[in-house]
Amino acid sequence: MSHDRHVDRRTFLKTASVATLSALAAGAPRPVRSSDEESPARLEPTADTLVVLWMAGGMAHTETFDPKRHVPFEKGMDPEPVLSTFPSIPTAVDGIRFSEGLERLASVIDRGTLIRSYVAGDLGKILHSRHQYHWHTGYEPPQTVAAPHIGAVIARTLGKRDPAVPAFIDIGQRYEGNGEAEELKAFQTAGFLGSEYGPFRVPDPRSAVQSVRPPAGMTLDRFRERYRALRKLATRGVVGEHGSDYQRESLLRSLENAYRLLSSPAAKAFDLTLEPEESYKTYDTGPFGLGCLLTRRLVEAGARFIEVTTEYVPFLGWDTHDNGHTRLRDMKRLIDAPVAQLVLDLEERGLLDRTLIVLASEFSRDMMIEGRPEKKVPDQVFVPKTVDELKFYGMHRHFTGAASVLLFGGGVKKGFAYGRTADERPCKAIEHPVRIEDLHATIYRAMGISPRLAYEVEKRPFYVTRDGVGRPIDEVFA
Amino acid sequence: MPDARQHDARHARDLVLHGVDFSGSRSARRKIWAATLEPGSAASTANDVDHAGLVRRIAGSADDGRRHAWVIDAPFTLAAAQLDAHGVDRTWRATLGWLRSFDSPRDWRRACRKVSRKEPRRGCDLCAKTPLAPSNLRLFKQTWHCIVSVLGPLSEVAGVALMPMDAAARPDAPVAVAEACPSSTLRHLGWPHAGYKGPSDKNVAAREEILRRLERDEGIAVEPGAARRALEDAEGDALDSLILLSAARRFASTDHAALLAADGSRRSRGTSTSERPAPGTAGLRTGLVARLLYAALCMSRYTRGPIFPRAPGLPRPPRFSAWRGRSAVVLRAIGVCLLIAVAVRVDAVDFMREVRPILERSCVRCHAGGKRRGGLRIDTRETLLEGGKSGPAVVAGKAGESLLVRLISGDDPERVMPDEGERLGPEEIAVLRAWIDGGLEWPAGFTFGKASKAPVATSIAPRRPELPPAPGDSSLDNPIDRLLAPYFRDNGVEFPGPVDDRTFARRVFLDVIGLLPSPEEVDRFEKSDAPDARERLVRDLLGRRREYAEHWMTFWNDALRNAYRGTGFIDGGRKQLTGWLFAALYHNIPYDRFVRELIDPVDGSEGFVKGIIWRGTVNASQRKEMQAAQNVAQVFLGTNLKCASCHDSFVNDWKLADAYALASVFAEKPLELHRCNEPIGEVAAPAAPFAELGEIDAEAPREARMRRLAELLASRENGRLARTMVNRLWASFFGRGLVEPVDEMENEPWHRDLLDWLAADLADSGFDIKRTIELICTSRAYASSSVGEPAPGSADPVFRGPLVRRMTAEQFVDALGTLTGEWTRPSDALTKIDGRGQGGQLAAVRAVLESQGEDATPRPLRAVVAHDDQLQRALGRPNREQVVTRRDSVATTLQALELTNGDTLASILQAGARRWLEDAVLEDAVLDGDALDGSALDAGRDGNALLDAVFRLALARAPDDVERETLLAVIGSPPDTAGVEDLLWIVAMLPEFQLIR
Repeated sequence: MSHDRHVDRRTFLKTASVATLSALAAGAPRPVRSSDEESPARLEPTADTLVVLWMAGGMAHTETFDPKRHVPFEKGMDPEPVLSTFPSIPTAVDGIRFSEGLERLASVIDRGTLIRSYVAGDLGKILHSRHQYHWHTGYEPPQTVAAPHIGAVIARTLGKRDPAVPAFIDIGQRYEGNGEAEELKAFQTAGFLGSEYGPFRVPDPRSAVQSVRPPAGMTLDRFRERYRALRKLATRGVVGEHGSDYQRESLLRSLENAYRLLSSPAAKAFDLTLEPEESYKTYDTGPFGLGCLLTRRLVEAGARFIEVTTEYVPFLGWDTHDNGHTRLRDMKRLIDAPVAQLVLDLEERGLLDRTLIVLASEFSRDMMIEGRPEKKVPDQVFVPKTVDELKFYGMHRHFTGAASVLLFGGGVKKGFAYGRTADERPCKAIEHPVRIEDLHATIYRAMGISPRLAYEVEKRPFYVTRDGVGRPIDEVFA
Repeated sequence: MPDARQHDARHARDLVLHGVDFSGSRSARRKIWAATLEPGSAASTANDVDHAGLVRRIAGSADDGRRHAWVIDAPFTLAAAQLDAHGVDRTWRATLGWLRSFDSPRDWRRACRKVSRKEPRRGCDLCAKTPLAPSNLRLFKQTWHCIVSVLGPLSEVAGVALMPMDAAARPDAPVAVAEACPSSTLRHLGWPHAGYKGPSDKNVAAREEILRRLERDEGIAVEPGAARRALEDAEGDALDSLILLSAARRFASTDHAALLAADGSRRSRGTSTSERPAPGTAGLRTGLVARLLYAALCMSRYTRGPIFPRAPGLPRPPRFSAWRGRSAVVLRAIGVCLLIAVAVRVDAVDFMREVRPILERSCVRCHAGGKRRGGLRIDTRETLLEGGKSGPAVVAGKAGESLLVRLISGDDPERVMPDEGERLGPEEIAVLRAWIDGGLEWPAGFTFGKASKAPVATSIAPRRPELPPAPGDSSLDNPIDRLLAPYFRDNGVEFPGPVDDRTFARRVFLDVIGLLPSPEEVDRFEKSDAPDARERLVRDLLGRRREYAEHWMTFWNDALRNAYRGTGFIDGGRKQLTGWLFAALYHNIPYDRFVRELIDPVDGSEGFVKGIIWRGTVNASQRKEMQAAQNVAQVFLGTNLKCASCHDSFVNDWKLADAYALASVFAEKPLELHRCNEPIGEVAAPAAPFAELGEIDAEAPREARMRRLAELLASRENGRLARTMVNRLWASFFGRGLVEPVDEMENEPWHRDLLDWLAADLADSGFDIKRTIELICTSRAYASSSVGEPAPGSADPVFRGPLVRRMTAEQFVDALGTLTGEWTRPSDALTKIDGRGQGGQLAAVRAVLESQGEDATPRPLRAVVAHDDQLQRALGRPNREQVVTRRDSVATTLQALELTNGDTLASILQAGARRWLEDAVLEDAVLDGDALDGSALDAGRDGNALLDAVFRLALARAPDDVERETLLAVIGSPPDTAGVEDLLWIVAMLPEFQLIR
């Protein structure tokens, strides 16, 4: 049995690598060496896998991982003094407090690092998807060339970890009926790196297995038979009257890859029904929680890059334009147990050391300030002079002056906090501000990629951090 | 006693192979690449050891109970003459001791040169006519470190045998180490062995080819990460280590002692000197075995013990019988033959493929493109021959007398070239020598200098070259063919033969209207005996205005960024062109008017210069005026203004001021120049890109400025406009432009007269695009046999006919529609425009048709009009955030997944299968109400008829016997839905279906 599996994997490995090769060589962008570094692409990695847990819509730092003064709701209250709408709770680490509702994450922060001083890009007016584009590519839209998603850069630079598992997996974002779907598509792409490195999309983790199974209603036998017949016919005869058969080979090779994935044991990693009942008890807080469970299975199977999103839908999820207090309770319930369990499960399996988990959001929120303190932008949300209804109680405006980022595993320090924010409004970063290029440089550093790595497109270098200026935060590494 | 097969199996199971690309550099930890091949798994590579680390790893490999074969790309020995000159015994021990007496490689070399400036080569080097001696400037560090730092310590390790010195003394050592050479390995395998080092696409493709062959021919699978590194490492060191695995395998399966003992009778003849072949070995000088013997014999003096035991009592080698056959001997011989260090080139070299990359990497930085260090410029053959301060750089035909060769081979103790960066490898030197010896071939017009990118008048003025005289052959009097005839003659290519009618019909249908022909259309065309049947077909297709316009919408939506939904709409920051564009194509409005209306918009065409405006602040280089400038320049003038919109361009001659001048035409207020997003205190004056076209009044209002720009760019004096367009058309129909890339019209066309003639003809015809298409499609060149698209990087520079192309997403989905009768259904999303101006594209198209009195409803809905879905996206329909002038045609895994289990395709095929079986195909499947003939009526009941009908529709031909047998089994008897669905899938996946041949 194990022998068969071995053979299967090996055969697949051969086809997979050749296909990747052809894509690599197919006029695809090549890495560019910068003159000041001998080999910018190769650094000693501290992580082999990256997991991004995306808090879509703007997660308020003062309501989650960086609580400030709590002022309970009272009819007719003045909104100005309110910095947090929840009390804070202690965590496993002295000096780090979280917001109420994050008890499980509080108990595992001794395995991770909290960055309190992330400062979102200054893009003028707020458009969530534009900030998300910026976070995920490191570049402000629009761009003259299609900027690749960080997952595509990692897929392109490091390749697959296991040849049967797609290198870039994107879990939990549906496009249908989404008012900003086009904006999301603009960055959830490999861009100029070419679609070989684009996301393998799993819009709903509950039906993930469908994406690696033969079409509905088709048995595996039939699936094999039709593929066998195709191969037999497709390898005969010539395509061009003369010249190379490169195109036919590349078509067949890509089909072979797809066929192998669908018939490989790795496909089982996508099947959540194989999980025991108790997994669901912890993880099943909704699609996001199940996405975390799927992530754990995929990391075990050898995934390279996975992003799980709470799903961006304008005015839903973390995008709290009203009822912030009430909705944050639900959002924290959605993430608390699954994320903590993901950390514990990976640790138990000995995988956390080589897996970097990054929990982040495009920006934060505040009750009063829209934009950043020194550069406010037009208010998008009405805040009354006195708060008479619960629906006005919460962080409803888009704040870009600070935000929290959690890091677990992958060589980062344990039980460590980096950066500080002010304890009075504006609760902006007042120590060690972290820009997106530095956060990316830190992530790339962990993955063994230089922030100065560039790919050539239209004869010019395109750096993986903006203009190659990102600086890793050395302090967060153990 | 176990039989040989068992022995072999065990042999393979516990044998680990290692290939080491060595380095003598002090930072060897990064430069030494070691590849490992564990039995039953894929090869991996690492560059994490230095010399001491390598020793530890090799010595340590003796401990794991398995056997290890290591091969290292570095000299293991020195020339006997050198040892003699220094009074060193001709043994390997003495060699080691002598080398160790020096503190550094440099000291050793200095000592050598004190005694003699001659750098004696080893016998094996001489035998292979290699240019480099072990003590050569380019090799001495490697030699010294290999022998002193690596082999020396290893010679003390019990389980390690250094080959061939220890072949007899340690026959049972579990670890064997030998010298090998990657390029010799490649030569012996008969694989391409030059041009795989370097950064160009061609070099990468060559590396890929080697990796592919390693897998396919040598069964050495390479881990994806290792493969990627091998591709990315332009020096080729990572790949060299993998190549060496192949040498290691052959080495490891060769019993040298036995081999040589078997040939012992020859050994006794004339081996008194290891310097040159003794007369007695003359008979051996041909063939692999002889070289193998000779190479080994050259080293026989350096063994710690006797390498060739004279006594016949040698233990019988277990695989003795295997090498009785000549081929087996040859295979085995390779192992030792690899000791011959370097290849020498005797065949002709290919300048573009082999020479150019070397010069580009190592010479042009200081000696071309405006640089002339030492007075030397190598931009052209003439300047190279002219030479610099030290005289002529080369003597054509005489490598030995060429200064260049002296300097690159390190023969001059004072100077070595290149004086910065990596030195040239032996095989590269061999290439350059062969190139010079061969007369210094240099393609006409080729230059390392920047092609002049200054927008000078001569480069944009229209030009109408004389047509060559009409040939006697009336089938070749199309102007394109007349222009091509001398081209083919000059390149020694036969005018390619024409394709048959069926292939031509499928090709021209897909190219002109984007649809598969119906079987009746193919039959009618094939049966027509009109002498001008092809011309008539082309004209007929160009006259199908609706289908023509639908097909070309794909091309123009990409180029003009016309999306039905997309970024920017959310804030009213974008506008569709759909209605205007469809009408323009439907009416085939003159191209100059088309361009004028996009630059100086009319009702409905505002979207192009409006650009995409996101909410919030954007980088100065992406303000909407700058987007307009970039896109006008790229789409209509075929030039890249993107770099120049941030700073003076590095990729062409456009300056920041040029970009701002053009952007200013579209600006409401004067624009301040920003360099890299920082204002520089200058204000731009509006101007067109080519000053000689005329001026634009800076004081005029915006509309007047845009009108003026439109006039200037669409004027007859702007030959660039027509050239850019005919080049795009040529690329559409032939797969590759007359100028490449199609957005860099500064580059030299491969046939200037053809480009200029077509451009002038387009302008003379009143910018009638269909006229140019008709010219192209009625040429013999277009009707020629197609050429399979070469692997990336290995493109044949000579035009030999149209390239095989892959269908676009839209063509493929439409072809599925023809095949299954399943087309996109009209929906509100297609007919209703939303509050942001998105959607409603179908309504816009219908409005145009209705205004022409065409009935817009009952026809099938083409993929181009549908919103993009997962299937179309996967197949390469772009999201139109950037201008796209060429689709990516690479087949990807994600694409194949979509085609293998995607819902969209599966449901199309299911419905199609039912339709075929229900005979419903008659009503719905075919465009224009043309129906299938009667055979389809019976299709549902008779698998054979059904199969025939599907093939005729999909591939314009009948199935052959193998296809019939295989597919009848798939369809089942009687045919059922699942069977027909599988048939349709198989046919749709056939490369023959997806490719335009």
